[in-house]
Amino acid sequence: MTASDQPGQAVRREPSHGLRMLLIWVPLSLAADLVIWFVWYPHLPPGRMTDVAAGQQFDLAVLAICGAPVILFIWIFGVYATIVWRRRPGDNDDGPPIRDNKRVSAAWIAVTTALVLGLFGFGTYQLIVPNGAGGGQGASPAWAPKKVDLQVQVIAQQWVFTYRYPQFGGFETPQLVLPEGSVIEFHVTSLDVIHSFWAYQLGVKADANPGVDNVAFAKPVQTGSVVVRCSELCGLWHGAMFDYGRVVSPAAFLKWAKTTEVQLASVTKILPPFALTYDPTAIKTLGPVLVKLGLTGAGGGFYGPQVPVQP
Amino acid sequence: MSLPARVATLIVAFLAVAAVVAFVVVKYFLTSSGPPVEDFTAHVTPDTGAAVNVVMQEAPQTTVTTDPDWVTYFIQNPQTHAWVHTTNFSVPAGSKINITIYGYDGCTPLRNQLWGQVTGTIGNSMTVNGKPTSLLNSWSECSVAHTFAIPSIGLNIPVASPTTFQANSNLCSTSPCTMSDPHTVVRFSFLSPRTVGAYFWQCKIPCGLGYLDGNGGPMQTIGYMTGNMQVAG
Repeated sequence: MTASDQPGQAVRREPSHGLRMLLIWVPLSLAADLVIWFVWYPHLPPGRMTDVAAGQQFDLAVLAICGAPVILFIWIFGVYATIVWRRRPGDNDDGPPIRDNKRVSAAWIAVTTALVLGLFGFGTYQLIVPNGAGGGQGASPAWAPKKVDLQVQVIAQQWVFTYRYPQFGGFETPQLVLPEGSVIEFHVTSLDVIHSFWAYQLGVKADANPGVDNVAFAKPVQTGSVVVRCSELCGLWHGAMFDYGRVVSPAAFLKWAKTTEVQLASVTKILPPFALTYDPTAIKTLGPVLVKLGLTGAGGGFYGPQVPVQP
Repeated sequence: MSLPARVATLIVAFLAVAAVVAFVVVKYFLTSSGPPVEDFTAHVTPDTGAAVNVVMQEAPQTTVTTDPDWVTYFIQNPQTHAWVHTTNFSVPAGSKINITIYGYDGCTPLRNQLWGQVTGTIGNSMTVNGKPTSLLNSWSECSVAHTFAIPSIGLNIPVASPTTFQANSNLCSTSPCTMSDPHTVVRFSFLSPRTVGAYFWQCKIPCGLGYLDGNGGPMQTIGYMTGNMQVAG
């Protein structure tokens, strides 16, 4: 029995806890969202080097802005309940029975449903509109830009990435150089095991599977350095499979590409013709050489399915 | 059980678990140092450009181990000139590293023809049996056995193989191979980095016989077709 229930004492009017919490929650949420938008957002990964990277940064900011009020609501409720509804000295009674509150339940369901469906719609839109948002879309991209300026093939092999430029004679180089302001179409593939091409600042991440052409798009809008890492555990030196690419001005790119094309002309001649995927076990020119030498298996060819011992 | 007895039991149990963990860490992690490191830093002052000579061989098998069908590299000890089954070696920083590789294994096509190009050496070339070479086409001729590559410094060497049918049919069968076995001699030089640390090297031809697409076994094991070049200050 509480003091207010004693005969002759005035019944204490319960304050509006909901209003109190609302008055705490609204300004705090507003402050948090303003901090996120103006302070945190510009520094969120992966930066704004490409259109898709900027899109990912915006997505993270939107998610943070939606999530902050939810987290604050939970924290405020917890702290408020701990302070206001704590047990006081002499209060040995049970609390009042908790009954269903249809208005609160309906509001909770409506708000969470709207939030989840809204984020679903937002996420879907943000995936489609920026042409796959930098993710690999397989050989037939569902969302592609109207115009592609430069194709770059990313070839993964234990434990290095190389890059082919089909519009410049198909030369292949371990250097990734891209022009600012151009729409890039990446064709990602592998010559051995599964790798993953993750160009952090570009906002591009696409699996590199042997025999598969995985297409991703990005448009660099800033010059600078790009860290490329393999993000699929690919063997002993997976951790060392990284390099640094560059986004340069269109003029600098053109100069680099033409110079490199000439420098690598002799090795480009012995490369296979540019293709979306490569099967190194089928080298047309090699067969006659091996037959002439009478070599098989370990003496010359690749170890294919015919080799009986497989781990 | 009294409180002191319970506390004592708890402490003993904790110490027993800690001892087991310490044993596992020391036994299996701290003391398993892997293949030995051949030291080429003696009597050389780093960052002076002084020359260091490293001699290796790649052999078609490893009859000195329990994996005799794995291809492997050996490194010659600089003092005794004995072949040591390891792929780890240390060199002084900022020095000219002269490497000689005796290629005893037969030819195998490169998975990526780009690695037929010599890069990262002084002059971007090597010699094969004394003949200057900067590019080997392993798809049109029997010419490459393995590669020696240190990706972090841009070094790539296609290690030449014996080219004739007779040589490829009579490869060395006991490792380490001897000078009487068919082989090629590949020589090249490069400048070691001025930054001390471990620089991994690898063969880029998937040469793990019996493993899926040749990617396992010796390709993934230090001491066979990959290792570390330790650059010392």
